[in-house]
Amino acid sequence: MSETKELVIVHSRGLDDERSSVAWSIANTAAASDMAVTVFLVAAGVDWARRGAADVAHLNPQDPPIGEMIANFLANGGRILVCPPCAKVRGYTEEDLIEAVTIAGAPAMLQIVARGAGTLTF
Amino acid sequence: MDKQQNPIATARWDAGDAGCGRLISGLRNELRRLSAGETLEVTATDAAAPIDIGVWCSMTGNPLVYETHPVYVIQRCTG
Repeated sequence: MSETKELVIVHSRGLDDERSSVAWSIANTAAASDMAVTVFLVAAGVDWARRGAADVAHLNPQDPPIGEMIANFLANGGRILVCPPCAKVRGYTEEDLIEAVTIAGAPAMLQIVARGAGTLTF
Repeated sequence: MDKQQNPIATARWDAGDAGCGRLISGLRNELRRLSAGETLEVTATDAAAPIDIGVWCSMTGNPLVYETHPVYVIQRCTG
């Protein structure tokens, strides 16, 4: 398959939820499968973008640590968007977040969906 | 299922029991070390490896030139 497929993963699970590991694992698999993947962090999922938050998180011993999965996801071309009001309600500014993320709202995510991206929600 | 005789691979990677995202991310990283046309012999004991590796090779266009679980030989595509 040569054409690039797009995937949007809406990720709302936080640092205490095993489903976060599943979401990042699937994001990694898709990015490693030549898919253009965007993770849209919302609600408690925004905490993954906070500086240092993912460094010690390891929610499933069968998966790599979350920080490693996020780094690998970005290295494979993955893109991370952060919901603005979800960051703001937690007191996070751009300076609190890892450099690789973009604070962008629903329109940026929906634009990708509108052009035919597959979607997954956690 | 044997696709053909096990060729002598350019490189080898023991994935152990890694599965799902860990297996595929590692596979991608290992294959990237090779040049187009070179081959990687992967040993992957995960029960889902026969399906997951085959599908990944099909999606990415990297030919799976040999498979007899838990050994798989994948050729890096030219793309």
